[in-house]
Amino acid sequence: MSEFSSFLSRSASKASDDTHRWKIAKAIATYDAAVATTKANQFLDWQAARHLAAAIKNYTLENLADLLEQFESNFTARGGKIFWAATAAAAAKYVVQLAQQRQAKKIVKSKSMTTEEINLNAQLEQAGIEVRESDLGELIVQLAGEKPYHIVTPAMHKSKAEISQLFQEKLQAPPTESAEELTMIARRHLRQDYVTADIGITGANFIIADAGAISMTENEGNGRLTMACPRIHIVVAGIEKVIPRLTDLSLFLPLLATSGTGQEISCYNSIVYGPRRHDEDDGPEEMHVILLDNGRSQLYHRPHFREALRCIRCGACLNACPVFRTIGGHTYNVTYQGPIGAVISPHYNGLPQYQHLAFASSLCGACSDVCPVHIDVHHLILENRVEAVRTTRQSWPWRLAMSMFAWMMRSRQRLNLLRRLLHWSQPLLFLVPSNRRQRVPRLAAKTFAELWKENK
Amino acid sequence: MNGAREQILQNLRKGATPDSTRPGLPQHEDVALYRNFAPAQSNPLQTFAQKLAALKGEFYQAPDTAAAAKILRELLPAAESLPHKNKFAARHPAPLLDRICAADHWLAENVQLIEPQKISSPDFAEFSIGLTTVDFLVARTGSLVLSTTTAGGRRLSVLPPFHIAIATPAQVVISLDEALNAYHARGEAERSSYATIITGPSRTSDIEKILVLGAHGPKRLTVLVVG
Ligand code: SF4
Repeated sequence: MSEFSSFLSRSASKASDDTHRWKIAKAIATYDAAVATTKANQFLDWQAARHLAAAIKNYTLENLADLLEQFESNFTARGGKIFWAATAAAAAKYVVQLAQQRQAKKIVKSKSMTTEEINLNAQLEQAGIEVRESDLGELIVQLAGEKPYHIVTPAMHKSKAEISQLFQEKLQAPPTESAEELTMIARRHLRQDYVTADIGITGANFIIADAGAISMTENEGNGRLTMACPRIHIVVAGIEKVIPRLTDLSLFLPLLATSGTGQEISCYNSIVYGPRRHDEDDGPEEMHVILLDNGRSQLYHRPHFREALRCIRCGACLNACPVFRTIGGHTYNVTYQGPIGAVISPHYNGLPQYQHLAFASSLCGACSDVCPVHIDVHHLILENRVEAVRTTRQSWPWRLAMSMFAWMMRSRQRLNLLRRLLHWSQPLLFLVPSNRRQRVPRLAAKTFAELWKENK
Repeated sequence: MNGAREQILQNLRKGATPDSTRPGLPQHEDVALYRNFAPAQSNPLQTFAQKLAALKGEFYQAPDTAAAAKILRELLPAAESLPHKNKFAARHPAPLLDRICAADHWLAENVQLIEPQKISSPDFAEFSIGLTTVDFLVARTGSLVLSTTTAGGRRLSVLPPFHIAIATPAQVVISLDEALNAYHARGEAERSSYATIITGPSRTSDIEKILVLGAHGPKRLTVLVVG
């Protein structure tokens, strides 16, 4: 089965799954309420804030090569290592080889969609290295053998009961219906892993050029532990994550938190300048930052698409999207789900088979309305749709029908004729099987043009 | 250096808009973004305290070190109630902490002065309370800014389940912008390898969006301002 037809069947089954719909609706309603309050309480002018963020990101993208070099020289001056990865495979290979050279047995990871993008866990496990996801949501999907459901809320689709069931099976935990108890089970389960792991792997929310540092946002503290205890810290980050100045964080951190979870600012925002300095108390001896391209520089060359690289992965467009809410995150079958996923997935290396995601949108524009960096998400989806139609060969009945339709639409007379034909054929509706009849729209008795003439 | 570097940078340079038509880098001051309070009329420390309380952190203020020692002593639970009696509370060497602990016998005896670099992570994880100083307190968001220098390394403020941060009123700034500017203005030698902005105790909403405190970091966060 092609990716497209399996996408269709997954969509159909999720769309009619009431339990799924209810869980997602509840989670997003909680999110929506928090976001509305925080926007109103924190920002005097939300629109001005997102315009400013977009302008700073535009500047960044126009000067991306220089800013990346600036980051590199500042960061390496403190003993940090940089690896430039053109592809997902190169990035994963670097991590696996490093882990093998350092004889690492256990790796603890904090949440990072970029490591999902390069499919890192599977490759580390293949090399015989134990990988522990430490973010609560990531731990849940890892134990369940699933992929993250949502770029910000990986276990959005799981109820307390399902999580308790999972913890009973995989962690031999006692049954409970309390979110607090479940969180404490995860806390106890992971406590030893932070202090015994050889390597900690994290993502980066921002690469800060003038500071030569990376910044990492989280709420749980698992990221801080991952960067504090193991003797090696590896960061995997897309090349577009750059901001020019450290002080830009004072805009981007509130924007990210507000759009991501409805908080004014996330609980922990760490700024990491490099490995432990000789006069410091602790911290990793080595720090490696992997700068991942994987199709981003190609996207950069497409005039309309460059703005997609402004994305700060807040997840707001997913939550706002009526299609995402209906078909759910797993249906997309890509690392980045929802509207922004529909934009970037077909362009990232090796994923042209995801062109159909351009059609998984009502083009209502809700995504563009909420985006904190003002990306015109739905127009980019439309661009992808145009490209998909241009580059894929349609079946002959479809092409015939479309060219006839175009021919009809090009003249007023022909259009009127078509309308009259349809009108006369309405009594033939009984030929349509009754279970489908509902879907055939009825024509109005008179057209707008006719009414206009009569009433003039 | 690997070949990918040149290739990626070249790709990005080729695609960029010509220099002359590139947009400039906007300054933050250009736009008034936040619902601010007028700093001159209000008390930033009070705003900080309110914000911290809303985030479920605790706030105390003491006029001098003696009073601070008294508050601290009342804050610390009985060692017997904690899992590792001998590893109760830990602090790093810092003049402010030295003074407070010296002001009270019990504190001097019970709060261990540690050298974090000599303690392995598994041992560290047994401490129940970590005492640190801070770099800044940010009034508008109720945040603490810590770096490895002021917090005795990276672990002391995150491994123990109870974090007590001791600060002075002079460390209060209005906005994150101010804190970051000041931090960035320090010389390379005075900037640590790691800084963190802490806003409330550790939390998660990963399960059905229900807020739970104490996910992996400290469940309890207390700020004590002295002076
Ligand atoms: S496209 Fe915008 S709304 Fe969507 S994840 Fe990226 S930044 Fe957030």
